[in-house]
Amino acid sequence: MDLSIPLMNSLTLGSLYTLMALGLTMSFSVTKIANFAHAELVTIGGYVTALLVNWMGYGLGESLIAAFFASALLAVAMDEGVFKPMIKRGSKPLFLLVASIGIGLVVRYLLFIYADLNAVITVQAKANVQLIGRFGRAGITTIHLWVFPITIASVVLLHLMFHYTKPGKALRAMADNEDLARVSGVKIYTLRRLMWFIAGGITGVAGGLWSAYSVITPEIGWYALLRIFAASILGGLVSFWGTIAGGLIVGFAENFGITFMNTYFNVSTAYRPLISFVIIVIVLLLKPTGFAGFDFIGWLKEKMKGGGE
Amino acid sequence: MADYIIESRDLTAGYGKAVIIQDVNFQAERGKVTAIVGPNGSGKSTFLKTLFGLTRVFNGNVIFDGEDITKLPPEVRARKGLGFVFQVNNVFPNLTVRENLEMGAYARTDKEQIKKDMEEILDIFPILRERQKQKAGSLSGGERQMLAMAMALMGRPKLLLLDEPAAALAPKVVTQIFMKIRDIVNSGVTVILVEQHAKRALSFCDMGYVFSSGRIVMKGPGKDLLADEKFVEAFLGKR
Ligand SMILES: Nc1ncnc2c1ncn2[C@@H]1O[C@H](COP(=O)(O)OP(=O)(O)OP(=O)(O)O)[C@@H](O)[C@H]1O
Ligand SMILES: [Mg+2]
Repeated sequence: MDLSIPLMNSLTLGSLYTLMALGLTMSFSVTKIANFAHAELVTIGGYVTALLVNWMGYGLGESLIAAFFASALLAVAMDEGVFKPMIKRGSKPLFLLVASIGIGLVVRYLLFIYADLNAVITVQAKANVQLIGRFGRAGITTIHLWVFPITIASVVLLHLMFHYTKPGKALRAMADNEDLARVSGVKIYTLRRLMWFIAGGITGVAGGLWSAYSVITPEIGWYALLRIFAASILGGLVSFWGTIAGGLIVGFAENFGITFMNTYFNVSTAYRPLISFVIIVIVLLLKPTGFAGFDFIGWLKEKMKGGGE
Repeated sequence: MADYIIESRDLTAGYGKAVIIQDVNFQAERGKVTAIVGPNGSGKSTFLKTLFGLTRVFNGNVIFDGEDITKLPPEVRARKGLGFVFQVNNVFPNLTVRENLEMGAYARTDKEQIKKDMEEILDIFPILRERQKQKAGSLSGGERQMLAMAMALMGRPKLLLLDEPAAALAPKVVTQIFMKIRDIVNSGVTVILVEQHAKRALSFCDMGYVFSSGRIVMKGPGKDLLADEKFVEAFLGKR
């Protein structure tokens, strides 16, 4: 059996999942919101990229930058418009989660209406894709030259930011203890905006790359959300390195898992999403901290019981 | 007239809809130690948090250095010279000891002086120098308390709020902590000290306040309170 194609697919998808999950890891660790509307940050980035490339004739690079800003602004708007006011009124994390599902739904269906009116329910960015080499039977294209470097650069830059810059360290401090950060003088609302901006932006770029890699629909983010959460949860929802490992594991598990089951057990490849679901359940059952020392279940239990010291 | 660095006037505050402290009129004299004692749940921590803007104020004012700061957010109060050592969760567990100290100086911009202060603090708390690169979450209770105080000092506060800095520590460590607090006061920082251990606090402070059910029920120089029969009977038990 030739494994070059599933290997290449795994690496590419793993990188894309990682890139999509980095923003979720970041926003969850700082705000503790399990943001389901994260899906729509992917989708918006995908559409902005596809439409700019196809309709306006922009290059992929420029379009990805536009996608960054579009999703970044959407992320900031979500927080300023919904999450922040709710938190100021003392909302529990569960309500925030439900609200995020609501935001996602609204954005998704607005996009559906738009896509329907403009006949772009399915669309792919017609980027100038060229075959530049082969790995076994798998082709290496210019898309890969975008996906891999952008993913690696994002992780490295985020790591440097969070460990070596003042705002980055303050964000880690906020993630640990918001009140203590405030009494240390951290302007938490300004930093929070910066965090959403970056988290949203990276997610938009991920969506943009996805639209160049394959066909997208207004549901593409929603469809990917399970994998994104799986990648993030594998990383313990706090660690960028853990998120890379998580993204790659999800990418590999899905492709090899489904190839394996299809070949030997004749399982339809349509069951692919089930693999991420199984990963989530297994991780949460066996090692809720993922690759990092964060006890997600314990934290959730505590929060469900309600706030207070 | 005495020179008060901070005052509260008819202060009523709490969390959400719950009123926890009521009509609190409190003053702390500049350069002195003011102690707050009282039973569990009497609102001592809530009062300190209210001075720093971390609770909901229903009525009254907080005056710091002659300015009404009631409506200012905590991050601005920190910049005006307030420092706080929380009773619990008073360090960032996932940051290293050194990063915690840097966070203490977050609001400051005098980089050169921060470096000097960092060295000085690490001299004052040698255990922290040894543990610089370790995560704060891995420290022992006493070490963590030292770090929390050191962090607050890195902010160069004019007024330091200490919420039970010696709770649940071994007697030897308690003595060390109180020696550090004395040094802090001698360096010109005003201290407000909340303590469970009324005797220890009142013999240490200049002025003492007694909280009960969210209100001030007694106040006076620490030594007078300790000599007051009514106080001793109500709060220290008969002897
Ligand atoms: N975050 C909060 N939300 C709601 N109620 C709170 C919160 N923190 C404290 N309380 C309540 O406020 C009251 C006073 O608590 P506080 O911590 O101020 O007392 P304390 O005098 O510091 O007690 P202790 O000596 O145990 O530290 C208690 O009834 C407590 O349950
Ligand atoms: Mg207390």
